[in-house]
Amino acid sequence: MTRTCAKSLSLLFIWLLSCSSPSPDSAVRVRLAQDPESLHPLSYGNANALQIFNLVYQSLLTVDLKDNSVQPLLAAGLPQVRRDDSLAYFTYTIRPEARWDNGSPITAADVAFSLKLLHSPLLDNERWRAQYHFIKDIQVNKENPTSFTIVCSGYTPEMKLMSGDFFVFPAYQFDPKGTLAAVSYSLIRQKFDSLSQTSTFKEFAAFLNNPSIATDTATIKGSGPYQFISWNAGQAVMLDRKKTWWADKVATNKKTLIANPSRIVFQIIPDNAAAVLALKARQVDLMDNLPLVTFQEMKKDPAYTQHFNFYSPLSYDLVYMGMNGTNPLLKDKVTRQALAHLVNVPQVIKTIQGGLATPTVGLIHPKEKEFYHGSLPPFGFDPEKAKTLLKQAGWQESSSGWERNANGRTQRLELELLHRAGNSEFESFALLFQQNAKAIKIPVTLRALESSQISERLKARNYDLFLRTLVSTPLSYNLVPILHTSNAAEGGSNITGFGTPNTDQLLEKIAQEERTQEKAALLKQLQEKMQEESNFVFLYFMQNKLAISKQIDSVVVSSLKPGYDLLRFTKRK
Amino acid sequence: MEKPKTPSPLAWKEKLAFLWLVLFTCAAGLSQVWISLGYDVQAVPEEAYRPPFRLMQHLLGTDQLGRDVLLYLIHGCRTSWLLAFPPMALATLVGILSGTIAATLGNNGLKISLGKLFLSGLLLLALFYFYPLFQWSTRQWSGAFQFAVYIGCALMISYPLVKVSQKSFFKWGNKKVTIPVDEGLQKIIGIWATFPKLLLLLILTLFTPFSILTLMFWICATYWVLPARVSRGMVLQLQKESYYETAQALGIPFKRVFTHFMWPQLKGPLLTNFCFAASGLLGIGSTLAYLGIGLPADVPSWGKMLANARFSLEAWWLIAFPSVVLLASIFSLQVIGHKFSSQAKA
Repeated sequence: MTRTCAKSLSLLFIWLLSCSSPSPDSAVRVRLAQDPESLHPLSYGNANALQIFNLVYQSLLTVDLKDNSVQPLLAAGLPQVRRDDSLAYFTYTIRPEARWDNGSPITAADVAFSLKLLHSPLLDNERWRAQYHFIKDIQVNKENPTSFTIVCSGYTPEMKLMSGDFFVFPAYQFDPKGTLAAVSYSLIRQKFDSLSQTSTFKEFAAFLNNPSIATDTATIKGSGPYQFISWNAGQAVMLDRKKTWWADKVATNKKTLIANPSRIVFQIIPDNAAAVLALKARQVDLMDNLPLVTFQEMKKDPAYTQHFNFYSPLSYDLVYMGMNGTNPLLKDKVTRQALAHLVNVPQVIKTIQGGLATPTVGLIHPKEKEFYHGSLPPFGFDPEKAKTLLKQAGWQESSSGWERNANGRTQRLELELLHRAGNSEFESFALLFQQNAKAIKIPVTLRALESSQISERLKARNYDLFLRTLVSTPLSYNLVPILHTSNAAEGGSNITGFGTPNTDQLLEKIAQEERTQEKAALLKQLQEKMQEESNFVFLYFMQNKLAISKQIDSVVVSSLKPGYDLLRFTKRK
Repeated sequence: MEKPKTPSPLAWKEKLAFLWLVLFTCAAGLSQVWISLGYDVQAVPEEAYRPPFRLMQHLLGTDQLGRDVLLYLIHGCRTSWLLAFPPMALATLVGILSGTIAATLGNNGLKISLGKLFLSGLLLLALFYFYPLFQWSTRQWSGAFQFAVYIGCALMISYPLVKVSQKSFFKWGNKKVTIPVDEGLQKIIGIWATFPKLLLLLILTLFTPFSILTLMFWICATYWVLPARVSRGMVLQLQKESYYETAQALGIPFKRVFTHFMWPQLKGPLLTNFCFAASGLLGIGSTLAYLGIGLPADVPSWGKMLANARFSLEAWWLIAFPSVVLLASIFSLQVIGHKFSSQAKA
């Protein structure tokens, strides 16, 4: 009897497995590697949450993933720019057709509310306050409620996008009592501390900090084409296209107002291997960042090529090894240069990335030909040169390793390399680097940590070496936050301690410079300096590895995040 | 007079199991020798994914980094051996000690003066409090050496202090309190045993940096419960036997009673438990490595090879060989466990 039951259960299990068939509906199913964490308008969790927010909310401007150009979204056109000595003025007009879900027009008051939200006290908006610190004021046109001017301190070319690159939230929904409408933007910034003591702001903050704001389908509503339907943590996030979306009535300048899929389902599958199985069973239509070997095998296999198209677009995700310039062992640049000579970049690209990566000498993508320093030769893999440099830095080779005397104390060159746990590519690189270092008697300990633990160690400057991905963009070359010495103190975002007075000047000039030729010359100087300092060992710019179902037409893949334009997709049944 | 029992002859599968375990242990030993000579498994990325049985230098093929699979498996033997046998042996020893002490002392057997208890508590607190300071002042020493020196010094200082405390200056210090050792151990075992072992290890390993030594420590801390329970039960049962009462009446020391009368009875169940627990540990060690928890990237492990094999189904040898080695080791320990179990029952 027991045996019969066991056999029946096994047969049932096998039958259930064989029944898993491709999803027949018209929804576009996209694999996400992790939950969005939070869908709170101010403290949304991660890049996945941002991807979902881009479907629900809209900003004044956007970047067209087809050609990487800045385009108006909620705004009727690009801003008119006016400059005086210390201020820049960006004047926008909102599209007259733009409406919230309740039918009310989107006005300058909503933009002002959104900006105030980014600077209000008692809210989790610290990173936005820092990012939009340059916006000094917003002047609403009294005659035209859809027109307004954003006043910025100083001027950098990036402001053309940044001044319109924040989500516009419906004031009627997030501030029904009009708390922020009663206080001007400049006053909120000036009286930040005293306002935090007032009962009205406390009440407003309590309302907005309510956890339900981050998950409630009734509150996550914006002017975007999709409405948030459900989020089952660890399983799926579902969005449906609005039946009546204001942009459907727009007749002109519709380039960025496209929303083809009737339903989008983000399938949350953290494990890569499980996600690959779901892709192979055609239960998801799109998967990005496929593991290299899977990508290569699927591309060769007719069983998959008949159902999927494969893409490997360039990306601006730069993989690098960072060195702690504040660490006594790595304080002098010659030691850092020696370690840089132990990285075999061509080998890593060929074997770990299967050739699907672009080597680089600096932070600039080689695709950006005018800014990339093509004539700067990269450090090659040369253990002998590394030994010579170590000797030059005062290290002496002994039978057990490298030692030197510093202020009467013996220093031993022993290093720890932090890498993200679970990332097989980083782990492979770390193993190869460890092997190369061991060959010249430098012991390297590998430490796999969670991303947040690595961030903590980097912030506290408690590390020797680390591996990371830097998501750069061709739209901005303001590198001051990550490279200027003013940000090198503990907790600052210049985590490697890079910088000299000379490089600080360079960075400030680059941030201000608008003329292409001059900017290119400055960026090339910076790339030379960065190689000389060697706080960063640049490995490569990754290429995304995408598989997209052949049921999907009008596919646009992009080098910018998230790597594809979901809104243009149309799915055949 | 009863004839001494002669062990039953080994069946072919038991011989095979013993042979496999000898080979497994030899491979682990060989790997240790190679490591001490600096002969690690080398990554040659240009040689990645070579199939097996084609080249003599890579008889079982290579993995995604061009590491020789045969060599990797041999080094994996060392990791599995270190994670299964030494921690299990230590856990068994801890279990026997705690179980026997609890059964012998019971709930009324340990009486301690309040003064001594108070001083011991204070000393423990002081030791815990001063460790970071000691760690900082001796930061150039290696971690294990630092810890050993600290414990050594602590013992040297605390032993005379506890001795002196017997002559307490306060009246209340001479008052004796009874420590319910048996009940205490039962409670600890009850709590500890409610956690599934894999889950407990998953949680505990996150408290310390990943290394083979720390993982061995956590395994030991997780696996002492069953030997303690078995030892306590057996000792309680044996204490009711007439020979135990006779030995007590004759004034034979407990140590001698334990080694001559109790240990032969305890040996069978403990060895059976050792084999089954060690076979389980081989699986758990590989599972942890598969999940990327507990072991650093540069420690070869069968589980890690299986984890890397998930991405390429074409490289079947990365699944087949570690699976065969892992299953053979687990089954061998199970067969030997059954042998001990049937011997104990006989």
